[in-house]
Amino acid sequence: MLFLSPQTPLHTRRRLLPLVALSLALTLSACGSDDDDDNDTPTPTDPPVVDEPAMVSFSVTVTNATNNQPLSPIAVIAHDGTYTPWAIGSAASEGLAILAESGDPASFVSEASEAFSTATASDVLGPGNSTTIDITFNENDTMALSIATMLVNTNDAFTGIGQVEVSEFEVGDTTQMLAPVYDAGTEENSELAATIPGPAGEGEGNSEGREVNDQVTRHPGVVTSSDGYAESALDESHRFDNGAMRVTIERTM
Amino acid sequence: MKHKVISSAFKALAASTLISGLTFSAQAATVSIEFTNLTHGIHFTPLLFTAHSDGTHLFEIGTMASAELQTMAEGGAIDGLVTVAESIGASTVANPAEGLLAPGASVSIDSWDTGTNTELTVTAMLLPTNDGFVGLDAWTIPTEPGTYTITLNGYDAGTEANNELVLDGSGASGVPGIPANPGGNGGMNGTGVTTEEANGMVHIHRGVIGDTDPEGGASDLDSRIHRWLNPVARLIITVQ
Repeated sequence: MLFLSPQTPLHTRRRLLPLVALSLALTLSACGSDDDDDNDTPTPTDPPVVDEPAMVSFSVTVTNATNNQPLSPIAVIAHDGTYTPWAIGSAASEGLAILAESGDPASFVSEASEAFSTATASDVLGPGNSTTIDITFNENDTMALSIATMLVNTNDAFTGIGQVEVSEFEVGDTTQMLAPVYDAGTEENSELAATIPGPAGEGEGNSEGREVNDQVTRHPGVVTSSDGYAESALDESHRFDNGAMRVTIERTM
Repeated sequence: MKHKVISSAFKALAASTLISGLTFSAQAATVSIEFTNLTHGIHFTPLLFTAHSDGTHLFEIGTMASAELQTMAEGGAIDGLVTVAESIGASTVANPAEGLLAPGASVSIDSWDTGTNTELTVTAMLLPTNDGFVGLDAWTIPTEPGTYTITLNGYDAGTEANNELVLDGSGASGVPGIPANPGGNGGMNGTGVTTEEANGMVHIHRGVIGDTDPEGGASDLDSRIHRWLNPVARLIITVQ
């Protein structure tokens, strides 16, 4: 398997070479000085070579593959191998809860304090439409991208890909995948208009509290009024199956 | 022989792209395929398997269906897509099941010489649906000999409102309706599920709604029989 599932932490490696180079340079500097005569001018030594970290850029192109679920502004987080934006069976972070209930990605990206960089799209992405988000950051031994967005005609459904390993990508390399649909587990799937922030409900977004079942899972789908749930603000057009968003990642620099 | 099981289409897409990035030589490849309809109550119309060069697509998420794709998705006919494939130098196996592939049934293709073509595309209409189809979009055929398993999703061509009404003559492009229900296990006299198609581009099919009223209701499909969840097909390919 080439891509790790979100619940599996990526292997972490530390960057050793610059530290080794620095200690070698200090050792050489010490050898160059003359301990016997304080008046001697120290032998000049080359300053330690410190590599400027190279910048890398990735473009993340997403296409809304649903029938009638606009996607909230896409959030992209570039991070090392240890950051876990969500995990099946674990409670959603506060930022993810807000993203999944209201579509606002701000807290989701800001709570990723160790991230190399974050980026968010400015607009909602309608069904059939595509958008590209560029993200640039310092090269690191382990690099991964996580992408998330809300299906806005739901209570707390989101689609995304967590921890896409891009450490080995060369400029021009691409990968493409379809993102499944998750339930954040932070709001009951009532499907009532007052709880659906998208055009099907125009209700409130983020709500207080959590579901009894307070954990991220795959989404069970929506029932809708077309299937006998009269109070639902949704109809059959809002149903979805897995593969809600196509994601194409390319290293561009 | 190595056996690589890739458990979902999501990972398959990812894996195939990485493989393509590592190996780019265009060598002649002979492959064998076993293809299975995983659905509970959906037939596949004549299948199209075509191997073609990189950068071409018979369909793609987020783009408008071609007239040839629309014809296949609404009525099952693959002649148009075969012609398109021939025009781009593809190697094609048309209709290996010689007709419908029933739920749970499999079909095999033995020793198919795909030439220098590197990408595999598969299509067949999902019946009974309005314009649903099973699809594989330009999947890079592994160059390393071995057996690989991937799964395929159900797509909506975006060309017809999913009214879920079985109507004679509706297999023609632009005529709303489901041309046939091969299982004979649905209803009739439905009032129609919808007259609108929210997403006019090729997208992942939301599934059918159906109902439990054989004499009426909104749909001529049976919600207890004709629903599906992705994936809808399994493809096992052996690269020799």
